[in-house]
Amino acid sequence: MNHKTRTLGYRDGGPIVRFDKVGVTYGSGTQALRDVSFELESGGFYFLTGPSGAGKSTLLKLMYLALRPSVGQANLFGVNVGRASRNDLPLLRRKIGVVFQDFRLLPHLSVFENVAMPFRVRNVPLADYAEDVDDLLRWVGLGARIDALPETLSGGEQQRVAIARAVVGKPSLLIADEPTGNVDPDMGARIIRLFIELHKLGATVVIATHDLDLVRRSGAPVLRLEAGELTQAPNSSPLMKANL
Amino acid sequence: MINALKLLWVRFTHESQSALLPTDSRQVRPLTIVVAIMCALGCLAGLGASAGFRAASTWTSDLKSAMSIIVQSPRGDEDLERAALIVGRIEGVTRSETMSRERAKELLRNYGTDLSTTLDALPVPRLIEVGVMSGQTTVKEDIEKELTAAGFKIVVDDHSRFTGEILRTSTMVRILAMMALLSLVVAALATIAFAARAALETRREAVHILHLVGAKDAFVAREVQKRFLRLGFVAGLWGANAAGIIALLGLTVFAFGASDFTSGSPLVSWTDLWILLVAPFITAFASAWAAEVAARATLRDLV
Repeated sequence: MNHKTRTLGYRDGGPIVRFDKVGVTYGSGTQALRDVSFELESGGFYFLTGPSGAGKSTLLKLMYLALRPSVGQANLFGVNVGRASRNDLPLLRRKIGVVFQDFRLLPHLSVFENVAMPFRVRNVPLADYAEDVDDLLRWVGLGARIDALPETLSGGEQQRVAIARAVVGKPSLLIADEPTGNVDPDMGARIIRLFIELHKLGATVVIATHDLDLVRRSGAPVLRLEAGELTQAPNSSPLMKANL
Repeated sequence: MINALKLLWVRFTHESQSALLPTDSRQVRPLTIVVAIMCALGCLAGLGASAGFRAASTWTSDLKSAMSIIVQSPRGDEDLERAALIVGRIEGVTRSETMSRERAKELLRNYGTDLSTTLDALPVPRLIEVGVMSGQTTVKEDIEKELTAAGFKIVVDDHSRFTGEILRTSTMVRILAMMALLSLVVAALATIAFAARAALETRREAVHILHLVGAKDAFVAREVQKRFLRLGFVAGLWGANAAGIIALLGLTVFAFGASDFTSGSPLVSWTDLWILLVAPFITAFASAWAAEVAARATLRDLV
């Protein structure tokens, strides 16, 4: 089956993420998540908040398929990820863009190559994506640094490369862990506007942040985690209306 | 037009894209050396097997193409000549010559003991040297039949005693060389597999990122495979060159110390060059295969 046409059973319109009594216990016995249930509608814009150690990273890992639940059922794009075969995971991951808090750029690759990585792993010919990558890098203000190595970039620049890599494949689900944490307010606002643009194009956006002011101004639904339990779940998924 | 030029420029500047998994020359160099040494030893084992086979074939063929007839108590040289004439008419015989008494004495002297004073007193055997066409298997029996019918008492030595020894020895040499080659191949594959596993373990973070942007295990394994294909080819080139130089040096030394018995059959032939020519390719493909198998197994455990 052609990977481009394979949908893994997901139909647009339903919940893109559905967690049902999900729990995660690490090998050390630490229970990171307990009985977490929620749904994220396709095309929604959500914030994930909570104090440090509340389980935000674990929840994000489940959502970007770096982890499978220990108990309960986690569905992404209609697929029970706990039972998904290993061969299905890459196809699901290609629908997800992730911005890591620590960027996770490959240090031996140039800015261009880091951003182009999602295309390369899909064996897309260079000519088919070179212009898109160039345009996106110019848009995030790194047009002049496409050949630079990550170690020569500032934290903010690395953050922008990480964001460009996450959005370059036009993902259906965009997950960002503190995406504005390392950039100045102006760039932070631009990044949020980029996420809103993607959201308007139909992407579901989940942003983990400590910036409660940003959360309040957005008016977007919030998931709040405390000590591994979901204390606030989104019950609606309005489009972003707030003027950020 | 501008877009096309821009694309060409981007293609030009980014065509030689870096490997997605970082390389570490500190790991690559020692591994290349180890694989090159194994490849060189493998080539030498192959050359050894080939040389052993060739030497055995040559010696066996030489021995099979000649026989010696001991004519017991001939009544003078005329009797010996008559026997040689009878042998010369047998089908499959290319040469039939009597051996002079003096030459027979010379053969005895070659055994090293100082027989000069006693040799004249000894009954020196009278011999007929016979050349035999290759593939003729009944010549010995024909000679025995014809000469016995003519009233000669003879013993025919077809050297089968020696050819059997040589064949056994050459078979043993070939088996040992093949065993050595097999051991080296297994050791090389195990080394490559271990190195591929270690390479992925040390690049766990990069592999994790590749997975998260949608790379399949097969894609990551191919990245590893490409790297080891290149490493195997380079190591194979070094190894084959080293084996060639060692073989040349060995041949030179051998040529200087060659005896009459062995100098007629060169140990290494130009046709053996194929061993050195295919070695880099075999090393490359074997390395790539071992790396891919190890990588796939490792990836299943990694994420």
